This record gives sequence, C-alpha cells and structure tokens, in this order.
Amino acid sequence: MASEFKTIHTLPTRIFHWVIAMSIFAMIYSGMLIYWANDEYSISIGKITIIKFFPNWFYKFFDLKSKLSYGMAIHFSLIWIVFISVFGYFFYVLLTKRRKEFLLNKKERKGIFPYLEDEILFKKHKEKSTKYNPVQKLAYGSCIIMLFLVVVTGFAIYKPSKLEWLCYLLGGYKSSRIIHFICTLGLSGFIIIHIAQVIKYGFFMFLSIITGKERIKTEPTPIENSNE
Amino acid sequence: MNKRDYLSITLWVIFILGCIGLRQYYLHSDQVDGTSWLSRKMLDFNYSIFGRTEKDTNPIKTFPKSAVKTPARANGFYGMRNKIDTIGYKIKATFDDNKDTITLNIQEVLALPKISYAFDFKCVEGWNQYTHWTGTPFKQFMTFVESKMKTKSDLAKQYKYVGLTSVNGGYYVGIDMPAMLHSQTILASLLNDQILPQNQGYPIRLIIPIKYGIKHIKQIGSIRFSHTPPNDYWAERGYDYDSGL
Repeated sequence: MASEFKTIHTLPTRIFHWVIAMSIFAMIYSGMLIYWANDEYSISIGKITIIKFFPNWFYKFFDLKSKLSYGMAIHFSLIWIVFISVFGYFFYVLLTKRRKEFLLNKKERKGIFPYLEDEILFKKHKEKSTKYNPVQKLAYGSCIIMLFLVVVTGFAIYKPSKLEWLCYLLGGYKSSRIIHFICTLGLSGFIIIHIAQVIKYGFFMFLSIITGKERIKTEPTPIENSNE
Repeated sequence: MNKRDYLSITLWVIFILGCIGLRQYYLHSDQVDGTSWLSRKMLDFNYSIFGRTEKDTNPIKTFPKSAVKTPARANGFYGMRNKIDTIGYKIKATFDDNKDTITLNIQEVLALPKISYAFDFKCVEGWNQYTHWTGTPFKQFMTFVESKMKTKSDLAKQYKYVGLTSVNGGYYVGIDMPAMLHSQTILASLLNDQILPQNQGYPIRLIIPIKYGIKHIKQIGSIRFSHTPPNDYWAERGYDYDSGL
C-alpha cells in the first residue's frame, strides 16, 4: 500500500495532549471520590428526578464510596500539573496560529448540520475540509474551554477565601462548584466520544497524536474502495 | 516512518508505563498519617503557597444575619460528652516552654468581649451554608491567657501552633498560629444569638472561617501552645493538615 505521512500535530501539542489526558483521568476519578461525599446534583422536572448524579449502582460499580480523604489527597496533589498543562496548552493555542484550527470559518458556520449528521451516523465526510471538520472544531474548541473553566473553578472551590476575588467572579462558591461539575461531565462525554472516534478512524489516527504524522493515502486500495 | 517517529513512540511508551508505575508506587508507598508521603509533600507545598502569614488577618466576607435561612447543620460528634457540668467546666491551657498549667473557668472566658458575624461555613464534604456566630476573638483570648501566666510571654510570637482538644480528649485539632490570629477566629459561645445547642459544641467551640469545618472543634477542653504541629484527628486519617480555605 502506497502512503505518505504529513505532519499535523506539533511536538508541544502532543506533549500537552498526553500530560493532560493522563492527569485529567486521575482528576475525574479522584473528583468523583470527593463528589460522593455530598452528591446533591440531579436533573429534574418539577418533583420528578430524571437523572441523579450519581445513582447508587454507579458508585458501587466504580468503587467510589467512602474514599473522601483519598480522593482529596490525589486531587490536590495533582493541581499544579493540571494547572501548568491546561494553562500552557490554552495559551499555546490562543497565542499562536493554532487558534485558527479551532475557529469556524464563514462557510462552515452555515453548513454545520450535514457534518453533524455524518458524524452521528458514522458516515465518511464527502467534503475534505481543513485540518479539522466543523464538528471536530466545535468539539475540540469546547474541550479546551471546558478544561480552562474546570481549572479556574477548581481553584475557586479549593481556596474560596484566599482567592475570594476568583470565587466572586465565578458567581460564588456554589456556582463555582456547579460549573466545575458540569465541565467535568462535559469533558467525560468528550473523552468517551473522542475514544470512539479514534477507534472508528483506526490505528494510524491514534499514532498521529504520538508521532505527529497523519497517513495520506496516495493510491486507494481495493479493500478501501469496497468500503466506500 | 523514520527514526524520529520510532523515538516518539518509544518515549510515549515510557511515559505511559511511567504513569502506571507512578500509580502503583503511590498505592504502595510509605504512608504518612493515612496517606502517601507524596500527597503529604504536595499538600504541605500547597500550604506554603496558600497558607496565611501573621499579617494576613483581613476579614473574609461576612453576611447580615438575615442571610441565615437554614438551621445550622450539625456534623461530627467525635469526642463530645452528652452531659456537661457548666458550673465546673474548665479550660486548661498548657505551654511547650514552661510547665505552668493555667485553668480557666468557663464563666471567665464567656465574660470576655465578643464579636458576631455570619459567614459561609464550608465542610470538606462539599456542602456550605450561612451560619451566624458570636464569640471572643482568639487573639483576645490569648492576651487574657498571657495575663494569667506567671512568666511574661508573647504567645503569638513564641509559638507556631495551637492544639485544641475536646473535653473528653476524643477529638483534637492542630492549627497554625497565623490562622489562629486571624481576626475572625473566635471561641464561639452563641449560635444565632442563642446559647450553643448540645450538638453544636456547648458550651464553647472554635469557629475559624478560613478553614474547613473539621477544624471547628466543639466542646473545647484544653488548649496547648506548641512549637511543633499538634496531633490532628482528621489529619491522622489522611486529610490535609492545613485544611485552609
């Protein structure tokens, strides 16, 4: 099979990706150990609870019960790694031309729904766009914003009187905690879809976030033709 | 694929194995008071960044009494006695540097000048609520203790920590001196202008808004001025010693 490789991810992007991936995983786990101690959030209409965060079976399945001190110890041990990697990546994207990779252009803003439809139905996109297609742009862009928010609100919850100004900016202690929780839910959803997408696109897509190179097919093989 | 790509892959494998190795090490590493020494080091580091200095006594945000809408939640009854003999209730003060033990009558302590405020009480569990307290600033209490001592001393300068123990010894906290000198750290005797209920630490408890609720010890029986960190009930069980906010 003839193929060539094109660099798509810079070295900083790859390093940030893996440091953030590993630390966020530990943060979500330890965060759930902390949340268990006062699991007050749910989605309800009137008096009917639709989803409780989280149901008892969920805590049991992931073994999250009665580990508050363990969760706090891990969570607060990792704050500086998360802070440096997330803020580092956030400003790396914001201050370099990488920013453009995540912003929708005029044409894309109009035609987002066909992409979304393809994405949901696991179809291949007809139109070859820039590095990321509009759905990816939205997903990755919101992921970066959620990462930023989750860190900022995290500090506001951790030191609400020392960082009183920060807590105030975010609407107070309760509001910071809710934003922190919603962003974590959003990030968890993103991670699940992200992993599903990597499985869908295959091994070389996975390898591209390690080596930085994407495989470009020069000659379509018969097997791939039959797939289309 | 060139040499560089293989190097990237090798480094990635080392990184992932390193993360797994760190996790395994963390789970089996030496424990310092119920948590890995790595966490203890990091929590102490966080304290060195967020800890307060002695000058940092600026009050935190307070609220009018009308902001208090819910009855104060009572949590944690370790080291408390059900029946308290108020007439004979005494608070003992001890010092690392000399062997004087000062015994204070509760009536003397309750007669000291008081301040009141409502603040946002926060628990490690994650809940918070507005509560209203009245009590003597600990700084003022220390001056009172100094006046009772035979040897002249400046407790705030002399000691780095204060250890407080509940009346039956079952619960104890250790707090750094700068936090004890904070203008809102009080020995509270009134909740919502009423005498403290039994489950809120009657007759006297600590209220220290710049720390989590686990440091707000109830039914104080003795107070120790110390050079080294005094024992702390929850810090011994894996929680942060500082527990500052």
